[in-house]
Amino acid sequence: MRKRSDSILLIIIGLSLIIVQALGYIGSAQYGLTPNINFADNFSVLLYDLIFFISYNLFGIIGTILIFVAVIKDLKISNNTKSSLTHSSNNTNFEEKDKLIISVSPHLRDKTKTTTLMLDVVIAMIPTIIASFLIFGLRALVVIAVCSLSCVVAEALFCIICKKPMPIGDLSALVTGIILAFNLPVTIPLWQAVIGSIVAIVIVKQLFGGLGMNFANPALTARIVLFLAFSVSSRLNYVRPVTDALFKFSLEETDVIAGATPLVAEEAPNLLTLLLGTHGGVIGETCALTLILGGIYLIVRKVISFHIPVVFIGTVFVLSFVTSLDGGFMGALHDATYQILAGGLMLGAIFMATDYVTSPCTKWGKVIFGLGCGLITFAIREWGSYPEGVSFSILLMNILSPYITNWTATKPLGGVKVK
Amino acid sequence: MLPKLNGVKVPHRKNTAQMSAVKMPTPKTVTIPMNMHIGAPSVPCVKVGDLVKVGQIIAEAGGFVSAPVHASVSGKVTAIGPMIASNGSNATCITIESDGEMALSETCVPPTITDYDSFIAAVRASGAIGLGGAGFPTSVKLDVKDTSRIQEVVINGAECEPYITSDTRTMVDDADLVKEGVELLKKYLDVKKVVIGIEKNKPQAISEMKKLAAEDSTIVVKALPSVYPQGGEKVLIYNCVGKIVPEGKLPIDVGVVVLNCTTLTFLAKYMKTGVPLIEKVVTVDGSAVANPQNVIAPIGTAMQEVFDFCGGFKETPKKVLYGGPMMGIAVPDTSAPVMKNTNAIIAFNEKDAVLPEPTPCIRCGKCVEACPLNLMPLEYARGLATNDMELLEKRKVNLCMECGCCSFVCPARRPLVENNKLAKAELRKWQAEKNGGNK
Repeated sequence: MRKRSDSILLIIIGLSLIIVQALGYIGSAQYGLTPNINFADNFSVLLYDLIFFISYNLFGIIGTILIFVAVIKDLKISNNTKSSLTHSSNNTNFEEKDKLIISVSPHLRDKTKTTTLMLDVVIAMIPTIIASFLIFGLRALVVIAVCSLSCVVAEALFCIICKKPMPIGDLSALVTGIILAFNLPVTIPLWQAVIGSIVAIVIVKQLFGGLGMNFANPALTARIVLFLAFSVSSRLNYVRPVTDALFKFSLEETDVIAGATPLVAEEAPNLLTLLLGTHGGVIGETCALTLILGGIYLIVRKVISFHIPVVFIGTVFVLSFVTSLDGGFMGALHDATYQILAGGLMLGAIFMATDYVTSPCTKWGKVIFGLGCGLITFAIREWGSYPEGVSFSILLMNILSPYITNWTATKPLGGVKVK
Repeated sequence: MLPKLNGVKVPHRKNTAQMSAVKMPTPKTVTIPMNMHIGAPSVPCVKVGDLVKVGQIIAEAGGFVSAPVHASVSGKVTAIGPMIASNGSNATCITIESDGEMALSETCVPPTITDYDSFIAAVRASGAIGLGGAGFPTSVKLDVKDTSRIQEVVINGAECEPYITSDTRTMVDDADLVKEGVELLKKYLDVKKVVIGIEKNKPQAISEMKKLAAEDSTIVVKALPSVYPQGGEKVLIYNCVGKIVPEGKLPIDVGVVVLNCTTLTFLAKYMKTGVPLIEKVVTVDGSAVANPQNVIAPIGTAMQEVFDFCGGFKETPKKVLYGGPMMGIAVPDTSAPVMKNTNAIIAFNEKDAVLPEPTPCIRCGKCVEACPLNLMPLEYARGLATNDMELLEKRKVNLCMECGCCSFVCPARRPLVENNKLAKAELRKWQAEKNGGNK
């Protein structure tokens, strides 16, 4: 039986969606893309215009539907409670109330819950969110908000439609949303961000069985889908707003400094700029300082173990160092540090590779996972045609994770091998 | 240096640690089950209507791995019949109505012990079983036939469960009996080394036992970290003497005998007085109990009477346990009797009694990090759900000692110990079918 709090939750989500939609209208149209349905055009163009209109106004449409559904459900609930009141307390007779609870041991639980762990991850990402605002402006916050909301709404809707228990209270969709936003450029059209969120939550996570059953990192897979599907936006990947455009909702081409990723730039930024992140890149990957701070917080709070980030980043560092030794020791050190601070390595190693579901659960399994990710990242960066290898390396290692867990299974104390 | 074993930090809640045990008034009736120990149930040797005295034998050992049972009050046997035990099985119980006299039986004389065989016979006659909670008949454990097999005796003073302090009080109040117990082991079992394992959260007990070690060079006191489950047999042996007991083998196969400290003091007391196992120190605690304390209760006393002695309930109890909260067994009502291997009865109020609902497994691996035996509970859950018996066999679910570390740490509140119990049963069934077909 649905509780009243479900309806209230739906109404709040619906109202937030409508507000965000309204904010989107306030910011001027993005790259001249305003929904404009011209019924004179032929059918395929009309279909395209219609789909575009719906996606552009998606938030507003969904928000209205949610409020509608919540109000209807609320009316149904109040009817139910009225009828149950007339039946009074037949089920709570004296003997039932007096019975002792029987359960299997243990009868104690530790304080940490799934929600606690996810909340810690959100807290660890807050410094990076603040840094992304300072570097990329207000629109970065809008993208983060849009992605988070879309992920939460997509999960809520999917579970309502498929009649599953409501899982959004465990905050895992929120975490996916923020991480997805971190992987997108600040100039991404908001409707593409929404599509990415839907791909992440519905296709990669829910269709495979929900929390704990996805085969690859949802945010990462969605990023790859977006970059392969909307290559126009990927050209605008490495942009950064000029200072006076920081507070604009939507950015025009004149507001941004476009440039190649620092990984292949001719004018390489110095190491301090790389650490602080005041250069071009996607929203969450540039400020290495806040990412490292977040990582330390997570390790101290025992949310993640140090194995994957340290081995992943360490492998890339060592490989870059060894292959740049022809420039002298200090030169190699500089090049290796440059390699680990530039690009999406910090973000990937700390927040995406460490996802519980898609990484091995044994200590040595994590080490092998980090090693593999580092090797593939280095290989793609050094010899592959993409400048950035982190996403693909994590995806490939995600697929290997169950096998790695099998190879590195713990040895039971005193166990004798089965023949 | 051996690698440290995993475990979890449970709350200690040793509210009764400073309280010496208090004797409760004689109950009106006692109901003594015949299956309080591991092995064959005892066989009653009295009839309804017989008059019995305290310490008189009322049931003989039912087989080799078994122990005799003695009357804990004097009075008349009013019933011998089945009663539903806390796990749902039927057990024969002898009910004795007390005459209030507590007259000691004439058979209670200190036994004459001259050698190894008479020592083992005396241990058997005392009705001693593992008083740490496991309940294995002590005479069977100590009957090693060749005493040169024993390299070390480990005395279990760990008491790792929350709330329970009965072993602590044994070591503090009965330290001289521990000394006498060690002397018995040295004399009749030719024991050369005794290691007393005590968790660091019992400083008084550690200092008392260290005084014994100062006078006797065979005794060594090992202060164990306060990480649950230090008292588990395999974990204790690993941490005290650094040995690993292989699968399917007993501790004696690696030269170790483990004895609970309360079992040892009971044996020492029996050899001096001849009074068999008829009463037990039980820690009574929990959020619903008015006055938690350590109580000396006659075997067979109904739990409700022990709770009444401790001031009754200050809140409505919603869950009552035999034993501690990590491995304790929930009982359906408080008429369940105090048994030989009961060292605590805990009553929880509603807030502590209700366990949270499980949510999906996030494969965080905290259960693997917590398991002291290096098992993988999340794999067992997967194997059980997909009916993958080979996986369960390969990952050794049969080694699980159901300590509860995995369920305790799971952030998704999954019922992992339940899963493991079910997986073990399914695996046994599957292996039996497999082996049956291979004949």
